[in-house]
Amino acid sequence: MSEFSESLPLVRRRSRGGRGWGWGFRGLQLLGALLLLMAMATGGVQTQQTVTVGSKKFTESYVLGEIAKKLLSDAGFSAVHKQGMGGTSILWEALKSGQIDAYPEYTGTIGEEILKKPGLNDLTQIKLALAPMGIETTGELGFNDTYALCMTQAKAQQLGITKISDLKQHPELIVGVTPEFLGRKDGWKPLSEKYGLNMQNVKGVEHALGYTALKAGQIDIKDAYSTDAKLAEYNLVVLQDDLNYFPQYKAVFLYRKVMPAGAVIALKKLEGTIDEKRMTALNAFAENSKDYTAAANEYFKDVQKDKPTTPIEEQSLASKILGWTGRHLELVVISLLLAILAGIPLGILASKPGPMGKLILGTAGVIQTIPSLALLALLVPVAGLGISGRTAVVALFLYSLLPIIRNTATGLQDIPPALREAAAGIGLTEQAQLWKVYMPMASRSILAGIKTSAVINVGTATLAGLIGAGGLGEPIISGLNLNDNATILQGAIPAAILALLVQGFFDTLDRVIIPKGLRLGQSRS
Amino acid sequence: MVELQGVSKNYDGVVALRPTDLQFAEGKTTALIGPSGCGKSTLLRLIIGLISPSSGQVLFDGAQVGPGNLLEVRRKTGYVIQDGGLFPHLTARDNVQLVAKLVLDESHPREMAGALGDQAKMKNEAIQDAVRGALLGGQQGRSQVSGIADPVGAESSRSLEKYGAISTRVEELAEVVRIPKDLLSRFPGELSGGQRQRIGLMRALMLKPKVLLLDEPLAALDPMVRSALQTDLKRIFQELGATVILVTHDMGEAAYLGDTIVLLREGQIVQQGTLEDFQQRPKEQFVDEFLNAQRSLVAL
Repeated sequence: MSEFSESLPLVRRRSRGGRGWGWGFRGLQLLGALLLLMAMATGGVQTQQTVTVGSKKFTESYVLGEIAKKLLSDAGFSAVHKQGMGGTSILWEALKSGQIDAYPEYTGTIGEEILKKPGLNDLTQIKLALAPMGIETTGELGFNDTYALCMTQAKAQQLGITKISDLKQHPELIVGVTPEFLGRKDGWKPLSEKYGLNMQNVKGVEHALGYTALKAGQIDIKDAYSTDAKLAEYNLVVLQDDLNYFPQYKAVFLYRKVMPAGAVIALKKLEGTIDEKRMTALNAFAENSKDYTAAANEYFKDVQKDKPTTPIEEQSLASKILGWTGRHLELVVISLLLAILAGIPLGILASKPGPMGKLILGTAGVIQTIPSLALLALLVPVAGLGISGRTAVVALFLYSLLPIIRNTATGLQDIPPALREAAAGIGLTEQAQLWKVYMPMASRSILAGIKTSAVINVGTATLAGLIGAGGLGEPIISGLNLNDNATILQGAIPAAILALLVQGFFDTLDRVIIPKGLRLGQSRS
Repeated sequence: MVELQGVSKNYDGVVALRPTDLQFAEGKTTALIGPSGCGKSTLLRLIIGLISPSSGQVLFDGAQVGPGNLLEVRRKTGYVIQDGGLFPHLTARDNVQLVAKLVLDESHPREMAGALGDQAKMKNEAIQDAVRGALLGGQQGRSQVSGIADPVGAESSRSLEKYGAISTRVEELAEVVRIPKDLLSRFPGELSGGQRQRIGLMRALMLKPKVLLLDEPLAALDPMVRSALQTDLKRIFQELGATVILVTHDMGEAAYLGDTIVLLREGQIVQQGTLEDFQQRPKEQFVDEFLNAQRSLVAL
């Protein structure tokens, strides 16, 4: 869990830069880069009539994903929405490899980041370029979610600023843009050059904080996305891009050519149905209600007023938590069992003097020092793993190894030499020495190692939510994304309770399976 | 029965035992004595192959002790260490019968097949025969063991009777070492030091060893308990008729229990003989010094 509290400020940045490489979550950026490097198709298996929609890790993408899911369900498909899988690279690779069938994307991102052809923004040309890769795109959904500069109504009126070139006359204004915007190819620096701006005071401010700072008058100008809910909420003025600097980021759905025709038809129903105003409203609704499904329902209320539709079915909170917890336990139990099977023999090897033991303990130790997020990032590109529960299980397995190996080894090493000599001296075979004497004597230490692994695993498994593997990390990630503590707690509280239960389970196990003679306190041998 | 021929032992260049020739008289008790670090425990470890000699050879029953016959040597030998060396996770009874059960389980053909090479298998069978002889051949053992139905080598009767034989042997030994039977279900942690040592002795005697090795068995016990155990040990050694090698640092104990005393110092034998030899004809001044260091109440 500590990983989450540490990474909280990063996640809170919640920048919409998900359209490009540079969205906020650094760890997953790495994940994405690695993924692209490998460019390995992992050959996902689609069961019949199941259509999987992916979404990026920001509100708008979540909402669009939910809307698509509903459309596909209505069209008779078993629709799955893998929420907030990450940034462009992850979604694009997942789409190409068939792990997902469709996801919402923006024309500017397709041109600049996916096809690497800056300036390519025409949908017909984009379609031509994507076709050889087996990927197609719907028509425009109807809104352009581009970058924009904004300021408060009061300040803009006071200074008479309506367009970006007006800023030339006001170099004293304080500019606070996201660190990412400061660095982007289509960000602050080239914009200043194009407009000939000479602003004296430019600083990097985190996205959500920037709005607060703008409202409080600590900064005067800020970067925004044209569909940001905050624009309406704070009644901000969007400065006109009079030199047409910002590329167009028109929303579309990318999908696999092999997706069933019925699903394509369902997705195409979205074309032209969401303008900027509607998208902004849906984003605001999602951020206020903390509920993407409800926001998606809003869309259907608006768009299909004439057609009565059944609202998207929502699971009760209890059944959702139960589902997450079940999945969480599944990840923990499988990885722990594997770690026991591998860890105990390795621990036995490691307990013997010589270089082998050092090598085993050293390797396990190094694995343990890799931050869990980085370990996931390293595993995702491995063939056969990818964005899946398998990756989570492998990562958890690797994390569980060290405590089990180390405790097995030290448990065995701590057996008094006199008893070792006794075991050999009375004529036990080496096997019998190990299994009848050493292992039972080390059993308490080994069990303690397994307990440590299990408890750590329960916490670490929340990271599985980052790679779409489910579990209690799902609400935590989603809550971090929404900046919504209640949602975070829906995952965090059950995870904490689970950790306590696991601890209690092993304490009981200790009383049941550890030989009574070992619990008599100091063994007087 | 047991013989050392030019045996020496170095640990990383440090001499623990200089080249030594020593023959242990069959059926007699030899006490190895000397100050700490004199090599007496090293000598004992060499005999059952817990360590291997740097030079020379150890002969057990005429054969050189080595990797090929370690198990056989150890199972023909009873080994007792300070404080009994009991395994804390097993009850007293399970400690005592651990090896015996293992040997009988090994004789099960299914487990034998594949687990051992042919040669090892034959060797193992020889040991098992010996064990069966020890456990079941009541005629040549003490009278209590007679009357066991299963004759040696009869494969038809299985574990029940065999384990029956084991438990009979355990109870018989409990009488030998004078330990109340109800203590057998206790764990080592629930026993006193003297009781643990008696259980350790039972474990060593379980397979009717031809050789009994005791490494400072009574060192950790208080004087009353030690004295009582010394009396019992003397009786047991006499009844057993085995070759006994006892390591001790107490001259009184060595003289009381040992037919022969071997005094060692800095890895070599100083003198070998009876207490009388030591007193009347000390080979070196060290012998006198060592005897005088053993303060006796009578002399005070």
